Amino acid sequence: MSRPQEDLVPRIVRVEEVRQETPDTRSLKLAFDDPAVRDNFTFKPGQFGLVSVFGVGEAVFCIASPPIWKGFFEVSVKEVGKLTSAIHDLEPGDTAGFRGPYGNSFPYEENFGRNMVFVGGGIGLAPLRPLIWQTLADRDKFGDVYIVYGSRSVNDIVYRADLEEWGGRDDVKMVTTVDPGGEDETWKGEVGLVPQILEKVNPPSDSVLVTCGPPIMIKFVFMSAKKLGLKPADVVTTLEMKMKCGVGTCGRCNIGSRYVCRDGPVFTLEQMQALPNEF
Amino acid sequence: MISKERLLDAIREAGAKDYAVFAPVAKDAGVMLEEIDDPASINFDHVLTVNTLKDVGLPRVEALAEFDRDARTMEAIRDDDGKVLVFGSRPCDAAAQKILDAILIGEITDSRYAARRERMVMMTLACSTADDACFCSSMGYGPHDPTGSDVLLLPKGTEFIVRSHTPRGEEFLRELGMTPDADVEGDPPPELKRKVETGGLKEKLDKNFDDPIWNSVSENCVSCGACFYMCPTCHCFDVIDESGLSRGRRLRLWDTCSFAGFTKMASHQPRVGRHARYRQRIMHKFKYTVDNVNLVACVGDGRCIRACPYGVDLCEVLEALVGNE
Ligand code: SF4
Ligand code: SF4
Ligand code: FES
Repeated sequence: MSRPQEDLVPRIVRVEEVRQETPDTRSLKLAFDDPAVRDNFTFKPGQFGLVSVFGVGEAVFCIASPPIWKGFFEVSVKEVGKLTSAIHDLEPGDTAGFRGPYGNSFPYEENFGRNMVFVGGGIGLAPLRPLIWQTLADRDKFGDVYIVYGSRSVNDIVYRADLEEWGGRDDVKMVTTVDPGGEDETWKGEVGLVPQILEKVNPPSDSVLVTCGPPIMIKFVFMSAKKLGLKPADVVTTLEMKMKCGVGTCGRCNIGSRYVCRDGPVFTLEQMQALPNEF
Repeated sequence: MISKERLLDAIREAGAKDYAVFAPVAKDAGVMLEEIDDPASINFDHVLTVNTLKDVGLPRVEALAEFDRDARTMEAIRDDDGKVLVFGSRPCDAAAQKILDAILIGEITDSRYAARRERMVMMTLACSTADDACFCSSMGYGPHDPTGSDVLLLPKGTEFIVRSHTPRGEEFLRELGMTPDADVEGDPPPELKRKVETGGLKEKLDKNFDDPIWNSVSENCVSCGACFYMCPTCHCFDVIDESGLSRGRRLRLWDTCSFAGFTKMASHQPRVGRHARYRQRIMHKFKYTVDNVNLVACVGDGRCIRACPYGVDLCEVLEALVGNE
């Protein structure tokens, strides 16, 4: 049989490094124990996997580092429950499990030559991060690159080092913002909600927009994209659903006939308009 | 034609040839499909077993792996390498197996289910009786339908006509020294009292996601999940760890869209309300699976109708959906 076989058993990874992003979010750098697996591990920006803590269980996270970083990969985890808190308890040297990569990926080569607009909210920057790094590695293949990143407050900003590096490049137009009231005396960015700031940035209407953030932000970013004149086929997001198998067999993550794990997690606004409103 | 006695001898021989034999046996809870040692215990005169073939191919609880955090290991557990004879399940259950195959041996294959299916021989006993809940013929199958069966046994008086329907069935009969019967007619199949007309249903479901009819058809449903546990085509599962241990097993267990926790995330619940969960059940069976693998995920075995403690009747629901403008 030539079909991919899935036995739902993760491979062993070692926690290499833990980075506190915000008071409730940590990034973990993970490396497979098996050198052969480590060296051959490939994925595409937008794909995800399941992280296991033995004795607690597993849950889905997007891969938050770009495939061009070799030997390890990263996931960013916000503490919201039992499993994520067990992940937060992991320290460098600890054992975890990982299976993946699963799912489709962000459109990439087909956007060569286009203006790219990345719009992230809070921890929703995680799935965009590999795509942004990859895009910047192929910088000359794209038109203008915009990054709009917003968080609730100054304390909720993730990937500060990345944002600093992207913001410092003169071939990237980056704007950061915090929700009104989330600023402090040191804050030099914008104050306002992500969709408003996006409209203010006013990227050209022939851009490709890739967004991820809280579901409510995504809905408003879609409306802004429409106002800016972007085509629904050029507006891309990645959806979050509860998942168990990651491959389309456990029946959990469907929106209409589409399984987010297998047919997504990346969908265009055009594709989403054809789905029932159940996400 | 084969007598019951010779049939039981053949099953005995299959057991001796290292087949694990699953067959219907009478228990306190009703007739159950279980692994048996002695073919003499096989029950022949029930309508349907309480449980379905899922118990063979996709067990209720299954250990996926054994982990040891300190030793840094997660070893797969596999017990899907033995030959299995499923004897005496009914045509609707055999047909359900075909639907599970299409879903679980799809673009990405569930390795354990696929391995079990590869080693499974289905020797089905065609029905000579049916009850008020049976409606297989309305779903395109029937009491003597061969879909999904390797060998079909058709009752004729006290004996059985042997039909092979797949190369695997032929090989199995050869292995046991049995020969298929040609040109013999069995007893006529039982007449089914229950009929449901589903013409146009798919077209309705393509459009009625937001229709208020979902509130009325789900009115009596309490989301208990009984229909799911009984359903031969429901295949949803959960994956959990034996908890709190540094050494233990990772398990998969049946789980269902009837339960609110099925889709509930820490910060978001995309499917809110009983009507939405019931709609998922109907949509998944009669639209989503059709969209994905071109099969309706219902064989008309009627178990959900018999099981529902609140009298939710799938056929009535389908009729309401078809008739709704
Ligand atoms: S009806 Fe619900 S429980 Fe059954 S297979 Fe479909 S999604 Fe799973
Ligand atoms: S058995 Fe009846 S009450 Fe229970 S979930 Fe199914 S339809 Fe609802
Ligand atoms: S996570 Fe199991 S079907 Fe999508």
